[in-house]
Amino acid sequence: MSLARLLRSTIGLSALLAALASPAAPVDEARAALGTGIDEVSAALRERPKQDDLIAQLDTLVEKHFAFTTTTRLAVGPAWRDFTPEQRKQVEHLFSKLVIRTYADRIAGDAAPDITYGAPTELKAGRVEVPTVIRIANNTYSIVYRLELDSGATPARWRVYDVVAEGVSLIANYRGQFEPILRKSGAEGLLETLSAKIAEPSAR
Amino acid sequence: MNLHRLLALAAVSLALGAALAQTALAQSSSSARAIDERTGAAPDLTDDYGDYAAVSVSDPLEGFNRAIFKFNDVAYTRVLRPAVKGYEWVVRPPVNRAIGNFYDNLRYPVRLVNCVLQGKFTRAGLETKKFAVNTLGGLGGFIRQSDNVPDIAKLPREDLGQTLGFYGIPHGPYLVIPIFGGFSLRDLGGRLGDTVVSPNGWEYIHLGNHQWAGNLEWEWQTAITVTDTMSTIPEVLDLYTQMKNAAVDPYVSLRDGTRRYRDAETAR
Repeated sequence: MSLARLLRSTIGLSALLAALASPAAPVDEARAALGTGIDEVSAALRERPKQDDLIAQLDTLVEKHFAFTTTTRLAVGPAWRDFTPEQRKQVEHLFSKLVIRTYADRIAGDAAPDITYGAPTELKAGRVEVPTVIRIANNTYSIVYRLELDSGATPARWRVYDVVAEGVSLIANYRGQFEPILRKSGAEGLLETLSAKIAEPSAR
Repeated sequence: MNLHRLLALAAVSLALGAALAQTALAQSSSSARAIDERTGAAPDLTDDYGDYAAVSVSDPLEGFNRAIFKFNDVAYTRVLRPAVKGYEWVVRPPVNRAIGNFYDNLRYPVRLVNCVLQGKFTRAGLETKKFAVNTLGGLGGFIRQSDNVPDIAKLPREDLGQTLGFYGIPHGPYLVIPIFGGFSLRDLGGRLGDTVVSPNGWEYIHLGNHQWAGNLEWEWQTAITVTDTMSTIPEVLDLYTQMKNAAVDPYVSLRDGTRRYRDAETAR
């Protein structure tokens, strides 16, 4: 065995050992969790279920992969403090229903998207951002997923709390819409608006 | 003065107007920050995850804008959508995509000029490469061959609105234009200015001595404009419908979303 080969295999072995010994970095964990989430949602879509079944499936998947309580809290903003526990539960329920419905409408008809993951960055402890480029049909979109570590669950899991599509954050866009409603008619007003929105059929 | 110069002048004065209006109307901007200031303390509960305060879009003409928005909504859903369905029935989506690619390729001068104006010379070179690849390798631009070439597959688009933003010209007030939709004053000025550079816009501007556009028959000029416009509408209308389905206040969602999208584009 030549010295060069010996050296190379030693380096390879030590790299492998290092990888096994140290736990995965948070960014890699988050990135892996996002990949699993997107794969599971894509798999559900590929089966092309009926709209109602799809929504039921997405419900389960969203619970698993999305931190919707955080999403809701941030979309409501500082007014969250004035919400009673019951109102918080209601607004989260209605808001997630609206988002899931929109999402189901949006992607049901599309061809399987082709996703490229960029290098994830740690925003701060327990918070990671993963940039992706998604190609659907003739278009490419840059979509950034933000994930938080849910350390309360066993085992701890990473879940998506915000999606930033082409610079437009889901949370920020809803906060802009909620804010005037909250200012005008408070928590009850927002609950009413959301219920009315969900009751109205989505346009084709 | 010919129309060419007039349009350029109009673009510049609109941009200047935007700058002035921004200062004058700073007071009346509809900012959501008020609510954050009101509560102040205990940021841990709501803003521990970064700054999610709504963008402050200066919208002094909100009442007027909302009226035009409503008009546009009816025009899109009652008139344009059925027309698009008919168009899609005649021109199948893959064919329409090719037409869209063709016109998009023709807008190369707009992207090139604005890359150069912002001093982005590497990107100007890549735009030129993209134009060459698509024109020569993609049957005159109908096939977007550049998608298969990694360094030019997704070049951020440049336009005059972004160039103005690059030089620190503020957005100015938000305006909703019948049919065309919402723009900041700056982006509207940019759009008009780009028309001067874009070959697709040349038929509007009867350059007396221009060899190509000036001599086209009006039937051809109309055909060019209509196909260029129609090719982009199906996709835009789809996005509009999706946005409307998702929003509790479509007007605010589109206004704030457009602003964030444009700012992200400008930053690239």
